[in-house]
Amino acid sequence: MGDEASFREFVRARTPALSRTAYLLTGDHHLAQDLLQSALASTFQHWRRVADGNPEAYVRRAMYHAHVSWWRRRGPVECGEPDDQRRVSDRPDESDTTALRLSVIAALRQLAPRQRAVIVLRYFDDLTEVQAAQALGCAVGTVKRLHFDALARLREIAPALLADTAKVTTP
Amino acid sequence: MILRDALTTVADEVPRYEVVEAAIAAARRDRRRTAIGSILAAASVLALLLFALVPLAAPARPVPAGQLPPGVPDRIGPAGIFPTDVTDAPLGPAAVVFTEHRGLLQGGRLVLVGAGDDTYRIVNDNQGEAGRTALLSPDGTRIATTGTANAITVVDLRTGTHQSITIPVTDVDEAAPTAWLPDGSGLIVRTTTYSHDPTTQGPLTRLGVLGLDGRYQEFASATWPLGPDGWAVAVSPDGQRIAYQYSDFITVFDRRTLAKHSFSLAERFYSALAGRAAWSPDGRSLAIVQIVFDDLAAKRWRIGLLDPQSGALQDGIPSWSLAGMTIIRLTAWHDGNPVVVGYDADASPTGTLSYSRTIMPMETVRRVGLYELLPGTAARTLVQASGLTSLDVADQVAANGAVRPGHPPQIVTPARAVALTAVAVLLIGGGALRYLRRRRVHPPR
Repeated sequence: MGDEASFREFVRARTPALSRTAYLLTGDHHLAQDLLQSALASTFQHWRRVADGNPEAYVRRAMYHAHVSWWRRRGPVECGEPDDQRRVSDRPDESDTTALRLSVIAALRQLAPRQRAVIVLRYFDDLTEVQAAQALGCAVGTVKRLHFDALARLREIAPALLADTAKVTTP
Repeated sequence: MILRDALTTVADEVPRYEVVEAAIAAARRDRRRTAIGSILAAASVLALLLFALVPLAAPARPVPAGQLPPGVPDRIGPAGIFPTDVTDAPLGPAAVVFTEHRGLLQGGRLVLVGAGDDTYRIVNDNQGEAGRTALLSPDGTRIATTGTANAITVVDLRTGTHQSITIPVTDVDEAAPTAWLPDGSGLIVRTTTYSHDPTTQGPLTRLGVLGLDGRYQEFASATWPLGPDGWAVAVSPDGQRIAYQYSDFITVFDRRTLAKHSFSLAERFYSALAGRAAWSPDGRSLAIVQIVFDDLAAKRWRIGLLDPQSGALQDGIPSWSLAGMTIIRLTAWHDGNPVVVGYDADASPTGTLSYSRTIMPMETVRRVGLYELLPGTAARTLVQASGLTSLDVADQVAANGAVRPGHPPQIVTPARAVALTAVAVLLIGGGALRYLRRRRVHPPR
């Protein structure tokens, strides 16, 4: 199988999962598509080297880095969701899920990019702290701090998302 | 619903993004650009050679080192493309340390500026935010930064030597200096141990006095959230009392008697210990930074003074304020006025001072300045700079109050501009000649 064919095969198999991660990182479908496209383009350029290892990890790492980089250049992006708002009233049977999505995305948007990345890595990708540190290219202690900081922020802005968790304990 | 389930539910609704064709096209485009870039890179080597033939940096200042009284330079800027490490060329006392943003995930670079002149040095291999986890000693001759795990690194700026001081605490994930003792004999250090399940248990944060000789005296330990680095700990001018903030409580610890007493800030709207210089110069007051609801739109932060015994606001003493800032941090005093670092960031003041110490990620900071607040609403700008995420000034330089003309390193000097123009003309001219020659060989049909 040629390089391009094997790349296409990889993308075909992994696009759904990668699309989800891209969306959770950006909270916006257009940005998520751009992010995934950029990461895949970078992966394709290095496909010969990447294909023998763990290409999905490479794509994810490219997405996390690009996400932080974009955020730094463009600042936080505010994206309206008018279509979703309409859907809440038009189709009440889906309103719970839609409302949940809006609240989750709104909460994630209030996190700094690296905090958001750690939340996605830990709670969606189910990576350990060590694996998350490798993905982000930072120390494990930094991941722990970002993780704690992100949870503290979420506890303030979206306590329902952490309803099952207890507050920090007193000495 | 827990976070994990919520993320999964949201993710399940995400459609499949069909971007493979666009990605391959973009990759091919990038390859072509890379090829062109290689040619340009070769030309850049020529440019760099020309660069080497002209002065590498603009003469920063005509005055030899040490002939000016220590002062804060009124202009500072990035350290340039080939900065010198303080280990390779010691600096002597520094006036200013700042964190230069380097983009992406690289974090910041610590840059030092000399006290008497505009000599710039970097502190390699030591990350830290100036004034928060990278602190100049009061006389500016040393800098303390985060080390590895449970160690602090102290760099002597007169000799360039690094000293790693281990904090005798086990299972530490992070350690950072939070304040120097006024006589420079040691530091207040923070160690943090994160729990295995951060959703249910906060990190264990310890505070202790760490001598430069390695002696350690722990005086606080709690899983309550410690205030933000740079704000949460202050040592009194006589070095005997340490004020620190966990959650909404400020505690004062007396090193002589080992006595502690605490008071609450809870009833005050967005307030916190003001920074490492929170003790007034006479040691009779503790400063807090606060913002009231009516000042949120103008982002006006105020400095107020509390009685260190009761925590009550002291009447009859002027309060100071600065508008347009996401947050301010008290770093020194001059003539009875607070000298603050002002941070302008992509963040809301309302979220800034949450006691979870997290809320303003430094990567969002756009502009930093050093200001002397005058009674009322006036302020004197000492330094202002963009491209930095934090800055700090040595206590003794700040107390001096002097501001001198600053001349940060210039990347493009007039001589370099001429050299660059010459290279550009050569490149464009060469490219045009080649194009014309090709047309002659293969004329268009």
